Amino acid sequence: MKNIYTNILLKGSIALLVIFGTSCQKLDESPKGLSTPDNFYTTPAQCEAAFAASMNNLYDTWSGYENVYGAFPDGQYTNVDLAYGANYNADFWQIHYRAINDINAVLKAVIKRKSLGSNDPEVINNIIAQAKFLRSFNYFTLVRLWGKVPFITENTPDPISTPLTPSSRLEIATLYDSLQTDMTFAIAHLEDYDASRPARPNVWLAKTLLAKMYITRATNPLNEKDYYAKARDLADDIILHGPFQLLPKFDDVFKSSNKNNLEIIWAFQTTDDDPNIDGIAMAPSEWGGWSGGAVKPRWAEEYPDQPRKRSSILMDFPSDITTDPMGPIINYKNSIDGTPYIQKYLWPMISLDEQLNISRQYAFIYRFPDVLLIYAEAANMAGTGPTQLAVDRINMIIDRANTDGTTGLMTGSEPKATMAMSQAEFDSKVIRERDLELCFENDRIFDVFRKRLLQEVTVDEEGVANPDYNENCYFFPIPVADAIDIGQNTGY
Amino acid sequence: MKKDLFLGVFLKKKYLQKTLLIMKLMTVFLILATLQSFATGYGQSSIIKLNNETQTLLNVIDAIENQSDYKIFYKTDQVDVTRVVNLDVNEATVASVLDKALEGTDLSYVVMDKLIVFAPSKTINQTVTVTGTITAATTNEPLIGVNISLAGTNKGVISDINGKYAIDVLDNNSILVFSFVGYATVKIPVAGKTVLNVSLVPNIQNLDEVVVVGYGTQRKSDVTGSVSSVKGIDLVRLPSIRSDEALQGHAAGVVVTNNDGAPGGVATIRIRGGNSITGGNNALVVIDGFQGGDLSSLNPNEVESIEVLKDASATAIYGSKGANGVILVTTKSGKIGAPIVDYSYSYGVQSIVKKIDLLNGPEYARMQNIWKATQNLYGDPVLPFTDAQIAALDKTGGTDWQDQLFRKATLQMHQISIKGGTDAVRYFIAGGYFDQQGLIVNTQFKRYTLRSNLDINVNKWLKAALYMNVIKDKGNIPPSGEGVRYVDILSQAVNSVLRFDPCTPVYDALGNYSKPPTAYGDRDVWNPMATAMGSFNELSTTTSNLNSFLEFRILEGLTLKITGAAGIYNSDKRLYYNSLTKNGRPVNGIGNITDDKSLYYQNSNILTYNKIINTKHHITLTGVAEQQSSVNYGSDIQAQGFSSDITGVYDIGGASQTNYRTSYDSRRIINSFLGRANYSFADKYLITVSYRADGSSVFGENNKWGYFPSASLAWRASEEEFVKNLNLFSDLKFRGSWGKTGNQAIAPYGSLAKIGSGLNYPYNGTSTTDTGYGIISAANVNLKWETTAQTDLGMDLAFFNGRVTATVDVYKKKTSDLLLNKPVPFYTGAPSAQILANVGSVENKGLEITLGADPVVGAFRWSTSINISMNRSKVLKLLNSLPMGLKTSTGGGYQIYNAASNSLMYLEEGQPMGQMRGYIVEGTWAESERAEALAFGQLPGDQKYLDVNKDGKITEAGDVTLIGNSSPKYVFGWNNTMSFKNFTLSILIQGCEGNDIFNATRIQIENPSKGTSTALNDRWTVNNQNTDIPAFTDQITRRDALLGIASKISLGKSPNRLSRYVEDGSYARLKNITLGYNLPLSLVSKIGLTNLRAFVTATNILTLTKYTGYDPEVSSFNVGTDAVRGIDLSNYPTVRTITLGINLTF
Repeated sequence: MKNIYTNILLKGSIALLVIFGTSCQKLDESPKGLSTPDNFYTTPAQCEAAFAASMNNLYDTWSGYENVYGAFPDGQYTNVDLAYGANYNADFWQIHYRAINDINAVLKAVIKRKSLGSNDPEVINNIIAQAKFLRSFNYFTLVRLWGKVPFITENTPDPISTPLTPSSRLEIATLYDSLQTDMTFAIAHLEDYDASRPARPNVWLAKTLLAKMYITRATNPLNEKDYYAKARDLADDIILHGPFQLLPKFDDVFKSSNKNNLEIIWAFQTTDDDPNIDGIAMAPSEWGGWSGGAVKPRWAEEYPDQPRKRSSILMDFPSDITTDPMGPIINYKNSIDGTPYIQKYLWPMISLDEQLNISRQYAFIYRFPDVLLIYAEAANMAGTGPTQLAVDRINMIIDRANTDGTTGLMTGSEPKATMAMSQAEFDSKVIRERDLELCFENDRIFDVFRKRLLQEVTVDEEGVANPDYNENCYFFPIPVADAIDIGQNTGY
Repeated sequence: MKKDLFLGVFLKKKYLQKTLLIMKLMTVFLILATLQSFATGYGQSSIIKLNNETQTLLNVIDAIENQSDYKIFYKTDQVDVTRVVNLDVNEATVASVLDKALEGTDLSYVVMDKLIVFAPSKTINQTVTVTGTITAATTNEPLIGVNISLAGTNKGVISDINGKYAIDVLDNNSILVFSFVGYATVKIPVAGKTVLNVSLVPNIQNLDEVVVVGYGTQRKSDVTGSVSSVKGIDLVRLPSIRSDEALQGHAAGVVVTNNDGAPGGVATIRIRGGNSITGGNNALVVIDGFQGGDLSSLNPNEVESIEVLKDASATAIYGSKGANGVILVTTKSGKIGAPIVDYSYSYGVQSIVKKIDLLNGPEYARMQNIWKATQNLYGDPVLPFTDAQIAALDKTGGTDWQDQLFRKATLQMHQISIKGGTDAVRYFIAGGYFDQQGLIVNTQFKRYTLRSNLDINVNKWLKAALYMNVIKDKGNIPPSGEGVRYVDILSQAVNSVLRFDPCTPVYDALGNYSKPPTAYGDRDVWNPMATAMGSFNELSTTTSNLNSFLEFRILEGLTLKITGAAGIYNSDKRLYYNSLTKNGRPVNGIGNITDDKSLYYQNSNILTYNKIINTKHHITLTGVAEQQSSVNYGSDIQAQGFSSDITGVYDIGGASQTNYRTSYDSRRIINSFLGRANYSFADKYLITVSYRADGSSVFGENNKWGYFPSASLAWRASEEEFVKNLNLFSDLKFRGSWGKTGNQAIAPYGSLAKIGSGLNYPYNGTSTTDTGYGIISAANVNLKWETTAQTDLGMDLAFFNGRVTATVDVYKKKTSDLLLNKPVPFYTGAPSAQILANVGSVENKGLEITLGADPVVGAFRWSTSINISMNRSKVLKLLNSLPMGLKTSTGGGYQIYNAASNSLMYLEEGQPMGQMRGYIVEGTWAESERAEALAFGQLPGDQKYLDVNKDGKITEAGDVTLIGNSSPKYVFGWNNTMSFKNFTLSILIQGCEGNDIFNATRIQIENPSKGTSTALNDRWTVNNQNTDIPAFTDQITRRDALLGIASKISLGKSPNRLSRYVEDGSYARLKNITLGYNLPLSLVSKIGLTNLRAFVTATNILTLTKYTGYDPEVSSFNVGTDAVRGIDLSNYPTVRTITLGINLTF
């Protein structure tokens, strides 16, 4: 009797064992033919490949900062619309967060998964430093244009499965504090400047970014005045100990044949097989151009007459560049489009071939004059007025701007700064000099915002104020898809 | 008193009397026993010691069993073990003990090895041989291969070629069972007769018929779900070796569409409409338990039956793969008996069903001259053709490109099969060879198939089987239609054949392929013959499926079936466009080498328990553990710039440039556990519940397991007395079911974040671009299957003893968690700011009716069956309430799609699938409407658009509206079989009603400046104002008439989305007629055959339709979602086939 049940039990158990015991394969996916964030970033080269991809998000043919000219209401372009649409400049918001996503994946792997485990700790720290620098660079743009933004780091839970809430938007000062912590780490572990790899994040580049953060904190909207001194000292350090210098001739800075010269601290890079957009895209119609990046005539007319102006703004140009580049010259007022264009990105800064086909010109991010001017601004504002060194450093730029590159003669009409200027006068002089020197280099919008110049720069050709202007315009609206989760900026 | 029986299962003695199995065993032993010859076994001389000389028979049995190795069996109703026996001795041999113990009873015994069986002497002694002849009641012809079995045993024989049989029976109470496919099974008691001649009647509907259901079989009468069955014999009528095509028109709710007339093309099969937008809607095909089979490569000759599972009660057992319905295929297996060889050969000729009406050479020349004359804005134009040239063309008629490209193509097919078997092994071996020329020159397809099905009865408790199937395809079928990589439709012969200039000869004066004319006509297209002869897509695929199982009978009613299956698919493609083709010419030839391999493994462990309690309660329990894994890997290289067209892509090293190289490797794992319980009470009340859990690797981390329940009820009212008393129904069953199924249409790794290459950037600032690896897709840990919940109500009816049958089903399906690309916030960093997610839902409701009847029986016999399916789909929810445009991108200037915002095909919440959007064209402006036309900046003779929003303008924003829908209102199939004497005739009519087709072909061929269509003859003139074809208005006339009047027509980037091209796609088609003649047996047997049949079959004979294109059944965008079907553009036309063949058996 007992045996019957024992037997059935035994047989049944074997049957069940056969059935259930063999029937469980692992359901986790581990693809062979492609990588995932869980199995990548195991060598420094893989991490840097991710950094390359993060930069590719920002600057790629026909997208991101390659196609930016005229996107911001900084007073230099014909586009001065202040009635920001719901998704105004959302593509810039998007590409920065895409770049952050690529960087965070590296940090998550390297810090949490110890994916670089067997490497020299300093090599690992350098990778982390590059990542923190790059991430800070992205956030620095976001915080200046949108204010309180979500600070997503390698520690943030996956935002797709765990959507953010309004409380995930950090206070601006808190965000800067975090960025400064990251930048301190970056400065401690980045390499020195290497002329053979000039665009790679280095300690001087990181210091420049930090100096820019300091000067920004000192002004609107935080107005933390003690940051002027920090900005002054850090800028001084860069000027005195960094590898950068002013080139004697202004034109030489922008020649596409002279890329990554010593005046360039950082720029979005191009190569033959990863070029800029076509040269004709930003050219006047006479050149067969597509009229991208048309310059605001009022701003161009107010630009002081000096050699630098002719290298910065295309006011007069040959009417037929293809057959006779040296032929009849017309003024922009008589041209088809009726606007000037950006000389910095056009022939003869780039070759005629680049002008008519694919351009290898790149986009500037930080240039040495920026640091000189940060010093001047900060030194003036940290104390009670201009210092001699501040005056000298701004005048280095003005002198070069007034100098004819061919003859070496000082032909420009722009007055120099003097010690006689009041603190306010000198401050205005510095901000105006930034406007002139760094025009079309995607920096002016930040000065316009931090110095609250929007109403002033967005007047129309006749000087009439923009009716859409209000204080809320100093932050762009949060893109619609994101605002659903994290809330909207005031006024939208 | 323990009996060690089989499999070591111990059974109590009293258990014996109830155990059917033991009875069977005993009977077998008895039959095997030729009595005394066995009774001289060695062991009978063993000495048995007995305690008493007088004792009960039971004591004697115990004594023998305890003291020897013998076991003794008997039936308690035959042997009285309490009977006292007097043995006289204390010690004796087994034989003498037994002899004495049974003395004076009617019992004898048999000894077999260690077994002793008691039985009444007469049973043992009286085997009788019964003989007879079996004939068909309808024809009186002998029936060959009828299975004659002895009821209650597994003894059986098969009738020979003369219908004769001989079988040994035990006694007068034996019952013989005569069964034969297609005939009603007959049970006849022997009752003392030695000759039994039987006439079998074809069965109308056999309720005892067993149908295959998921992971098991069921009596048809017990099925509670909605299942359509198709017999293999119905599939072999078409001269095809594709079972998908053959299934068309045979089952309600199953819509088979032959989208592609190319040899080796595929048909789409939809069961109760399409549920998914992006996830694919192909039904799961299960061949002998092997999941993921392919009907298009399954030879119908190997098919015994096909069951189509439609409602959730039937399909939920397949869980996350069952949402699109399940097609269960049972292949043929061997039958006990001598080998039977079947051979058939057929030869057919295919021709184009219909040519499109085009202008011939001289007509086209004149049309071009007329058109050119209207281009007079800058002075009088030079006409392309002089009178002399036209006169010359009049003589030759120009080139009919359709005649050049399309040919009378042959097809031939050989099929052979051998089947047979013994008690131990049954086999079915089949081979097929199929060779089809394509309708288009230089296209061809060959297929070789081989199947070997072996069933082995290892012993009483173990069965084994091994099924193997190998399919080898070879052919050359260059892509046609849309969606094929760089081969835009202008590079397809089938597109240019309608558009190419008929005035140009095939070859120029030098013997080269002529180039398109430059002075007139369509300059986009290329010489169709150069294209056809210079395009190669040589494919070579091998599919091998292995399927094996072991089935253990563990206990009475309890079986364990362990199956192992493997599928191996290998595909090599060599695609080449030589330097004389449109796309090969500028780059000196362009081609691909593509290798693709798939492996699939499946192991299902099926535990089934069957129990009948008190004859009324019937319980079947099924438990399954299953694991599946599949791997797909391959590579693709494209290169161009070949120095020689002869070596072409075969020597890829000779290419000057590699365009791309890719390789891939993806895997999918599914673990499943499932259970099903069937319960029936008195065959009247039937309940089925099932539950399946599927764990799939492709689901997101949080949703690795999906759960799929179902339940169904059925009531066989015909078993109730009050219904029986009506004497009306031979069957009446009501069914109701509900359940959930899923669609796993997620590519592997779809839920993972992936890193991709190619996001390069000069990170270091040198002149080298650094490689960039970035995140190219975002993870969705919640990604899961699409879920379809389905409710079905059905009714099965049979009247007049089954001569009239009807099945009616209504169903409602709601598919939720549809896979769509869902926008996510930008801050997530997700590329394209979207992830694949489960959003959206779709509903399908429908009605299916199948009617069958045998209106005429007797010498002339007619059976008929008609099925009608109606399905209504409705999109319930999408990402948002806006219409969602679907991609129907085309090359070649057709301009029906530019972006999702201006697409022809779209989905919209609350609307059915297959919506077409565009401008409504209300013909042309009449002369009497000049003023109205002028208001739009148009003239009489211009196309007249409907100003939907009545704003006086025709704009994309205001006037794009619904212009058609591609979903049919109903589809139908009508099968007829007639037989008279030796003739059989079968006729299949099928069709659909109420669907629209967007005939995009007409966009180009009715284009005034270059069109080749004869429709241009019907263009608007003052004397022909009632037409859709606009006038050829000359430029000066237009300018003068419209001076100062601006055009109000602005059609945007997809201006050809016009209702003018929307046509009624309804059709009724005489799909197939087959006439067969069986030569008289008397004649055939003289040459050693048992059957010889000759047949002629014709397909696509006649189509009634208003549709003007090649065929209403084609659809260009058959690769994408179902929602974009119904566009006709550059399809490989369908063919009409006439086939002759013979079929012989020996």
